[in-house]
Amino acid sequence: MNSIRQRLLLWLIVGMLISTGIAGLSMYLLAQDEANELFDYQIKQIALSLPGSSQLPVVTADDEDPEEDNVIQVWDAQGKPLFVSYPSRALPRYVATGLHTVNYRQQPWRLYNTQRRGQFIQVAQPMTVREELAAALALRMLMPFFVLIPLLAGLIWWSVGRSLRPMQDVTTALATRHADAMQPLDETDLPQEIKPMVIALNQLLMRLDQAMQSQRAFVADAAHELRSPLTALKLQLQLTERTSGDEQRTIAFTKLNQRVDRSIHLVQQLLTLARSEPRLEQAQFTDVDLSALAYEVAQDFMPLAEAHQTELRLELQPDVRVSGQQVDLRTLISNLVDNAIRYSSDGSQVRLCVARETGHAVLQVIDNGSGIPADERERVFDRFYRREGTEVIGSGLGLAIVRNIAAVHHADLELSDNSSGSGLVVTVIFPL
Amino acid sequence: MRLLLVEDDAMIGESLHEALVGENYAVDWVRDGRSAELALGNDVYDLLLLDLGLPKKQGLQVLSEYRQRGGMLPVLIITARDATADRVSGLDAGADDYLVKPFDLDELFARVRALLRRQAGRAQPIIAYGGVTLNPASREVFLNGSVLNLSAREFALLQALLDPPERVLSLAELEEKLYGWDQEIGSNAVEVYIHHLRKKLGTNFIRNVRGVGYKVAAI
Repeated sequence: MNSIRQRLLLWLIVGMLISTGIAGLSMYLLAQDEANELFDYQIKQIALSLPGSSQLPVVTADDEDPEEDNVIQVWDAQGKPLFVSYPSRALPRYVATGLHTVNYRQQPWRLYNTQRRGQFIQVAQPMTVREELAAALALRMLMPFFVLIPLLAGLIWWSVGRSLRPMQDVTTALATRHADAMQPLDETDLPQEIKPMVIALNQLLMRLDQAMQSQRAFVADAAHELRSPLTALKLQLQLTERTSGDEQRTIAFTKLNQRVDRSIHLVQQLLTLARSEPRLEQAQFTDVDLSALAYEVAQDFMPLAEAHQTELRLELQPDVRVSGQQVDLRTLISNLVDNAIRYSSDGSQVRLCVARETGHAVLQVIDNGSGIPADERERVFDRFYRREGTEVIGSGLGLAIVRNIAAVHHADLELSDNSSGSGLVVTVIFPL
Repeated sequence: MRLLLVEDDAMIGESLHEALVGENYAVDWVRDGRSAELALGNDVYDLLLLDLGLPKKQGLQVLSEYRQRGGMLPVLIITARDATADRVSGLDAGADDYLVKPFDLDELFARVRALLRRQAGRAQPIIAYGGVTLNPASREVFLNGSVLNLSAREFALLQALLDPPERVLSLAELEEKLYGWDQEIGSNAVEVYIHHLRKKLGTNFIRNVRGVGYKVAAI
């Protein structure tokens, strides 16, 4: 049973039935007490009001409902029966005087015995009379309840349905809207019980809307940016088709390869960026040795540094550990080192430093290239932002990825000038 | 025909330059909005190929300012912006055509030819004048119905003289139409080509207007 309405109805009706039952039982017991008192008095009065020493006629004709009537018996001093009201139901003579209860023929009886002027009088009454009276009384008093319960059930059914209508309205409002309609639900005039739910739902809608908008912007940007390498690729492919002669064809294929590499690089960076987007749930962090990781990354970049005649210098304090994701942190360091090497002129120097400071772990990548002017330092973190006049073929995503990874790791990211001459210093400060 | 290509993406620019030169256009390639403005000031071009997302000055701004100054060149926008609103604002800023990246080279060539044709004031794709028929798309030339074999430069020179015909072009103008910045020009190269053309078309087809230059004239 999964309906609040049915569940409420069931429990309230069961509760009412149980309490009605208890009320009925206690009324029955009360009525029985009253009946006992009343009938005890009655049979006592009958016994006391019998005329003394008279020769009573023996009644033989039983009336219509003899089961319920009192049996009156009189004996003389010698124990000879003088009178019995219903001979067919004559009880034995019980000697004890006063009121008491006996069992006769599997039936409880109430007796009153007395002795007057040598006569012994016994008035007996079946207990069933009293029980039936008590039950009838109790039942009569319960009658209103039996009328009340179906009425109440109807009332509960109707009022619960009515009270739940705002919920139905919310459901309808949600069910009939489009998938992209993220405007909040109306929060006014809502019952106290539903309002928190709707408010929570609206907050969720708002977060979803933001997430969807940023995704949409990302897809639009990505679609736009993908066109450039694809255009270069298609143009070169068509030119390659038109070439004649082996030498020309070799050159054309080399260019074709460069353009494919560029497209691959962009797609890879896009995927890395999408993966590095700050997630709602906290990522699984492990203990990462930042110095060891920086050393590994530096090894990977040795060939590139050599190709650019760049000196890649390491200044690593051993065993600087941060909490984070190994893969993401490797991407972060790789992007920074890659940028530093590619955007510095040949023959320059790139320093990769990891150090522990009080409360922080600091990673720095320092180059002596041309640097980034202060007014562009915010914008270089925007995705697809490429500085004007850069000859290096890049995706414009590297620093956007770095920013995302730093954010996920609660790390601060700073760009500054290289104090010892020209160049850029990228500082990532991790909390310890 | 000399084209100005404005494209900041090195790879795309390189390929476009190569492709257009392969079609015997003289092509100058600049890579930002400022350089485009400088180049347009020379007033030697027949067509402008313009990318929109440019460093230093946006393509749309370059275009609208060029039109405000009275610039008449046919302009073909080549861009990655494919939204209808972008096309509308591009055309409204003064572009004659709009091509979305990535595009097909053949389509680009066709659009360039169409724009050049309109610029020369004709609708027919084939130029016919005084027994000479020139097809810019197939790069074939017929003289009284029979095919002429012309070198690429000879063809370009003839097209410059024929489109439109009877216009007098100076030697310098002809050099500008045939060679981009990056090409070496022999001291009397154009005169040599004119000499070759006269041999194939008849001496009187290309007239020397004394002190001014050359023009074609029907025999």
